[in-house]
Amino acid sequence: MGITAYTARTIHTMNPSQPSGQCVAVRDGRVLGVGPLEEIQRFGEVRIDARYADKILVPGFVEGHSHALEGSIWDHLYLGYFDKRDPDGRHWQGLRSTEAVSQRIGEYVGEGPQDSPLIAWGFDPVYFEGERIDRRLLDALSEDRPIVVIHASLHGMTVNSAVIRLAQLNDKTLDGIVRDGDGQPNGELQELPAMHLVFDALGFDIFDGASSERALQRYAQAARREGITTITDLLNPMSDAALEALRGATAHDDFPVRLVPALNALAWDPQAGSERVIDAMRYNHERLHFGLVKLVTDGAIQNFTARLQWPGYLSGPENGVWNAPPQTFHDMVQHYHQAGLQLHVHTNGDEAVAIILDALDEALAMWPRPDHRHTLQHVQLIRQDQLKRVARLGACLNIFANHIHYWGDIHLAKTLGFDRCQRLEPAASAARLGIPFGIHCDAPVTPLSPLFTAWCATTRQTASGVVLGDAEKISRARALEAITLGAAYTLRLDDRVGSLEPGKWADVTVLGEDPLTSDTPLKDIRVHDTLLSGRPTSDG
Amino acid sequence: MNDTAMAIPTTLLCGFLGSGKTTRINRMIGDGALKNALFLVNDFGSINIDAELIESREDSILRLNNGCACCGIAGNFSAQLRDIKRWEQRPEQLVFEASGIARPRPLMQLFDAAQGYALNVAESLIDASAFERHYRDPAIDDIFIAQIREVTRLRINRLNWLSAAQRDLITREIIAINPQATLIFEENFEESPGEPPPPMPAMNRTASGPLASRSVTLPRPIDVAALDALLASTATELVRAKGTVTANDTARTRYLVQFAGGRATRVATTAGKTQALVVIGHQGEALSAFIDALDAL
Repeated sequence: MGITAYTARTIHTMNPSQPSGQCVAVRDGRVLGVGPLEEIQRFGEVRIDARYADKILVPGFVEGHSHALEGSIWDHLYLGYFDKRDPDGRHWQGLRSTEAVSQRIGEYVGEGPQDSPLIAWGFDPVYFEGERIDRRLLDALSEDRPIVVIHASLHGMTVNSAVIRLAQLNDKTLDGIVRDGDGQPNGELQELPAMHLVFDALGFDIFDGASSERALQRYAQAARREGITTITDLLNPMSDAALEALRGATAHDDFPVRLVPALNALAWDPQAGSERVIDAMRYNHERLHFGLVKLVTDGAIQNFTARLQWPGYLSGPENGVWNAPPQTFHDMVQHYHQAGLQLHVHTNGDEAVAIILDALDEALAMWPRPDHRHTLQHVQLIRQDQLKRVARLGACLNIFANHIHYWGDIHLAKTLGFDRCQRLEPAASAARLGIPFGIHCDAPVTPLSPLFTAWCATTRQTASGVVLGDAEKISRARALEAITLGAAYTLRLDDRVGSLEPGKWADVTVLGEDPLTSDTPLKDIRVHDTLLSGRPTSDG
Repeated sequence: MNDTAMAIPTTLLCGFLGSGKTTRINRMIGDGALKNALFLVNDFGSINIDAELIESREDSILRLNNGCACCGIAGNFSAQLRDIKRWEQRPEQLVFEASGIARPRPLMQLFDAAQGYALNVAESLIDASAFERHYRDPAIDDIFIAQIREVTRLRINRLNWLSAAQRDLITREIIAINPQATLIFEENFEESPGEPPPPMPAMNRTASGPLASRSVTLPRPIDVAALDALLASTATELVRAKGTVTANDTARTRYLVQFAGGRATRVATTAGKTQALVVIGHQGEALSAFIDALDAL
């Protein structure tokens, strides 16, 4: 195959030895070199492609923590507080008032078969305190068609009278069925025991289809549009059907991203789980990479379910919930470490971080393993002493930078208070201690967009404009590293992606403006195109 | 069809990790007292149901896929409950083993309210020998106490591992948390009742004599089940063994093998490329025979 040279206004390579240039040469899908055209021509005849001559090229973005559910959840109606873009590229305005929520449901309640329920998602009651989105509001939109509004946390829902009738909620005794002054269900249902009655009566499940080939295709399209060339599905069931879908979707050579699934370890007996991953690794190819194992320890801070150390939550319950007994996590860390696999461990609260550091301490003392790269995910509230332990243990972090923007105001006023809000998502401390780290969005929890995530890590601005933790801001250059090479390192893929260096896959993101020198906020810089293995994905 | 008449009577089993839920389930299966029961179990990594027992009865086991971040009972739980009651041959009883961190109250309410199910009894198991540790562990004490407070029946085991004074203290503490519950004291919980925690096999060793370390390189993939059997049969002669092997299955699975404290474990691994075991044991004929048998694998 011949050599193609893409010329550009500027290229940032993330390679410290050859940090920038104006021409990147590609052969056989790999980077041949970045440098002056006449130097590249020494390799042979070069075809020059100038379509990006006025653009900025950077290494393809790597999203180290998001979920393929993003590819299927849009089958339901979006009611979130913040603006979002669906996989087809359609922009959905965030809904900031009960009127707006009611209006959007009203627009769609007449569509589709009227005997099937209208299911909506993304509604976050934390932003509507005091205003009730309840049965009455939904009844005004339809008395007959069942309406189910699933909350952003996925731990609650609001339903109309049609659903209350179908699920016979009025006759049931369950703490999770919230009732009004007259003892009638007001439409709000909390936690699974109450929600089960609705799932059962209406026969649906919000997670249906998240592992299908169609969902993966849509997920990849959504990622491509935001400049992502490598993306995770960080909680994959790895059932036979899920594996088939992963292999089927990525088999097409125009699949626009590389996909990195992680086994949902709590769904498997540890021995069977490690065998499952090792077996699946036989199917690894350029666009599909198995080898990761995910453990989810605690919940989320904004839902008051993350496990916190003293002094616990500012308001609400004292502490959050474990997803399994701490001993189970400890044992699973020992097992998967011994099996030679790489662990990605969801740890939101500092108490969750503590038990996993203890587990890693023991695993590494018993079974020393250089360069294990076990990664703590989210680490929203990790303490300074814990960061030092992470550095000492040789672990990596993937920091949930978007959280400051989306829930920072809530954390300040309701969950954590001032001091702990300063240390949320401590990217600058991680950088200072030399801990390898990425930053992420956790889609569909927050929108896919590495540039937005980088903007959050550099500005630390909440939705209301308050800056939290000035001392933990990182530079644009450091943020760009975190969404490319940093995230690639946490996935053990930095030998193949994350920078534009000879021999690596030619995965490139094409930007309208220079992320390092432009005054435009990173979140507003336009993604023009991506290249996967040197091929523009817009051509496919 | 009248749904209430068809409701499946359900036994809810709660209790912390290690509280004896699995032993209890094995007992229920072994007793054969439940006819055509379905056991819905949770908490991967702690389950070791005796498969032969199940095959010999008409019971069956379904494992829950514990996939959700926050409540410990979600995952495919809801979907499973929907499916089970639609089975052509519905089970006559359901025994639901809750996750070790599940609070009983919402589950009790769920089985009361859910179409097709009726809560028969909710019981929590308590390992008396771990009571003080769990009761005073700030990471789990709230869940532990809820498991005792919210149910109608408490089944307390391993009391025989404690002194009479400790037994009284713990019993009083449990009653203080839940004065209404029916208490059942398990007398014959362990295989050999009346004994403290079993000593490590290494301490009972019949072999003696100076220790020797041998390294055995295996030239070809082996039958790993034969290796397991060999390690088990030589347990008293061995102090320690460690190494990696390749199985003679079609996938040529690699395993990390280790033997310590009288127990062998084998974990699938990606590590290493060689096939070798380092063995430490008591010098003598038995060890030599073991090495010969390894060579012959």
